[in-house]
Amino acid sequence: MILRIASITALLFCLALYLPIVSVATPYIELDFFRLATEIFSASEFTPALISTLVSTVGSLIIALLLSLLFMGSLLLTPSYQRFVRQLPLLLAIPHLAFAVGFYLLLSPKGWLERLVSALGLSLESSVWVQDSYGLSLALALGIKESWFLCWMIWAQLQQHGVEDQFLLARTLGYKRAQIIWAILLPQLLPRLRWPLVAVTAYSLSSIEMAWVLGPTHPPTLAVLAWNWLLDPAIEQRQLGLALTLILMLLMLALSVFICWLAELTKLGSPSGRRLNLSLGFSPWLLRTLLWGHLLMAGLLLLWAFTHSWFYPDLLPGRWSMRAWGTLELMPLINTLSLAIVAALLAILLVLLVLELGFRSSNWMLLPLLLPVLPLVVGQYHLTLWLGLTPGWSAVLIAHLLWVLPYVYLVLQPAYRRLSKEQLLTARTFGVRGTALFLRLKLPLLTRPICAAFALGFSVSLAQYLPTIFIGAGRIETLTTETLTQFAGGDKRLLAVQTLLLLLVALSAYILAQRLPQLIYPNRKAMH
Amino acid sequence: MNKTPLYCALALTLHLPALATTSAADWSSIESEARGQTVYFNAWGGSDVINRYIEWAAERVEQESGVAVELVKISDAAAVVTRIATEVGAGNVDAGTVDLIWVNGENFKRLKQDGLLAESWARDLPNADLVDYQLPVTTDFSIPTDGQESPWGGAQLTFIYHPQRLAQTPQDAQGFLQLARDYPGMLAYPRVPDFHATSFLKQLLIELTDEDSALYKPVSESNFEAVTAPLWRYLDQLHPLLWREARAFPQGIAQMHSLFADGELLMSLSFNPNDAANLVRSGTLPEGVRSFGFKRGMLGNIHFVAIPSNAPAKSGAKVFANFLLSPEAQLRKADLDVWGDPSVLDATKLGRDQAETLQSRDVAALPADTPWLAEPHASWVEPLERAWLERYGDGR
Repeated sequence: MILRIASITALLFCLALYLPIVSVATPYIELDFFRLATEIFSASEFTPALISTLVSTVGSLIIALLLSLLFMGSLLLTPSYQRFVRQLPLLLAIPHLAFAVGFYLLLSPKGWLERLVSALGLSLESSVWVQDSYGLSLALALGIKESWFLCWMIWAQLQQHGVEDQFLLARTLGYKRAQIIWAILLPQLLPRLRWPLVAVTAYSLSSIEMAWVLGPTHPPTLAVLAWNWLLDPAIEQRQLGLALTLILMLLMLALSVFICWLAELTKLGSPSGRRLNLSLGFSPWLLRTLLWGHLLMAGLLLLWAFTHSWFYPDLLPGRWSMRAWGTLELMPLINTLSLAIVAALLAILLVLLVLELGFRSSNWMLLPLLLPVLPLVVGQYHLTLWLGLTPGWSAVLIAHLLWVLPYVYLVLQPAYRRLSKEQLLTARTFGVRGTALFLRLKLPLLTRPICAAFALGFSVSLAQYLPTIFIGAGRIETLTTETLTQFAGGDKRLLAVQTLLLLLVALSAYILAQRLPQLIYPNRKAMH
Repeated sequence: MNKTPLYCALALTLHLPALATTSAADWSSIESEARGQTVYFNAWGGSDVINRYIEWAAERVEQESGVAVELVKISDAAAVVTRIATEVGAGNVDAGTVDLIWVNGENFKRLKQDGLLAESWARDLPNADLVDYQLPVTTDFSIPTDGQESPWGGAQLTFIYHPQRLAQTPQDAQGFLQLARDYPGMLAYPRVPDFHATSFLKQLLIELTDEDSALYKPVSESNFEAVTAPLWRYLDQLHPLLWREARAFPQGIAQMHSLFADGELLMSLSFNPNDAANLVRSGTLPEGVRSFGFKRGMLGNIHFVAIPSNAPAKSGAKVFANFLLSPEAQLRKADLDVWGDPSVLDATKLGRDQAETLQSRDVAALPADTPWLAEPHASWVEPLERAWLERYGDGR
């Protein structure tokens, strides 16, 4: 009974948290959309911004999909497969922003790569690797970053549907991996990957942080343009910004429809029996390059963090200093940790309680992942104004939950579904039911997914920029907001220190979550 | 045409400092009201040295007057102006989230225009008597401040270069264009509407236009197209010669400093005449860099602090603003090891030691005799940015 009441309360609470999705509409009601849209379409910045937005969004989607299929397909059934899968959470845990900063330090004009090349006596003169006007570098960075997420999603699918066996069978029949990926993996995986792909698209389309660091500057992508306009002193300009977020939403809708259509389109072809001789020999090499690239970026961050001055063409800092570390403040760290821990725990509790209600599906909880961030934040902002919420820690926490909840649900829901019916039935016949059943059987059985959900929820809260800034009135500083402030400030040493800290917190949360089940149940291997 | 620094003419037309209207008793009642208040000071937070200076000032004023100051680091003052407007628009008239904001120019214009500022208070601060009224501190981009903001520091547009890489610095806009021809792809300015970019445009416009006086009146009173036509002709020539052929612009001066330090650019830009010295000390720029200005002068302005009309801690904000004007705070601010932001105090009203410290300049700084060009009327900013975006916003 207590559990029932708690569950219903949790459901109502979640619904209240999701109000911004509905209230997204309110600021638009009074908007003269068609007039504003015409004005936007005729703005000189619109067309190039639209092009770079589409290039970076669609480009990143294609790159992420290709890379993930390639890596998973070429590793499946090899000894390296398990090792790669074990590394995935670590790669996933790297915050987008930290990755973007590392990418920037490596590839910016006169950056480390250009220094290396010139040290080798070659020249990269006049080639553009970041902030190019078509958004290609942004597409590449987003694509690489999102490919780990898709690898993880593919891994989850491969476990479930016996595709692995088909893969083995095809191998024994003498098909090469490239052909198997194309003929067996892709048609079966694509329909099941459709929502993850939509989520990737929603992120790329509305990413402010990565677009800021790596995207074109003149003009910037649509999301950044909308954000700039929304902050403009002139009210007409803010109206334009609002209308532009609506255009982003429509763009998202069109892209989602396109992805779903594409996913339906791929069908298993009838095999002709021809064995194509396509080699994927470059794949392990590519993967290794990417992984070393990650390490190189981390190394650059580390070097910059101890630099006093470091100018082109030096490959190492000219003078060293610890000064940047002295500028670190405790408050952003405390805010980050407290927000991320409370948000993740609260989300886990809420999701479990909602799942306890036993509805056939609560997939509405995934909705925030499928919408661009910017309009949602605007909705949240109007809601907090309307409610008279004081900007502060709790308001930011509530704002973060809108994105933490769906990710936690994404992890917990399938695990909850997989709870053994027999075990639950046995417990019931022994008279254990309701709250006791939940606490004594379900919770312990869910230890591992709960830890995984915690890690994911934590990193999602950690990464939030727009809600933190908007809803917190800039008063709540987190590692993410500090990192972006430092990027704007342009001091690479402070930027590196801040980014390293962000990276460190994210990675430790993941490692902790991975180890936790072993610490809780040291003598029960099956629970790990 | 008379080309003397325009601010001299302007300064003469300004009303001389009025006598302080608040008695000592009034001020002490403000002080006692301020005790225990928390002031949310919204200031651009992109510079570590500035942040540390503000933290220091916050600590001092806490000890001295019992006012707690919380620095809210912002990346764009316009966003805060928008926030204040939204709050007041939603009926929040006395419990706003901003008590004090670092502001000037266009943002001040908007706050003032929309009635979002606390009424005349700046002249009542005890330390307002020490301010140098030869500086344009009672107008902000040709708009009278009416005591609704208190001066905090001075600024002048400054080019930073390295004598080993550039022997002869350009003397004017035409010289700058010639330099761009000699070194294609090596010059840049940030992307409009970045504050420094707009300032650079204004600097060029003042020099290039034939109708200087129009710039100091509201833009609606003149023919915008005619006044600005020479600027666009100039930029049409300049842009193909700029960094990445003006298909991309540095995101701000921070990126410009970095590109300049790595030899990608020949010059950087700053609004702080002491910046070159600061940046060498912090290791951002290499040793040996120097600063220069155009012969006719460089754009100069004052930056201020203002109190929004819906600030809950107005007394606390006034006490903090007063402290920021104290000789102790202003001298420390001017110290190159701290921040290096020029003071707004009148050296003749200070002790001799203090006056000397105030007037000294680092060798890397902008020469002190660089004439000061007054900011055009604030109403020019928006049309200028809009016209620039219309012409060059598509990056092609």
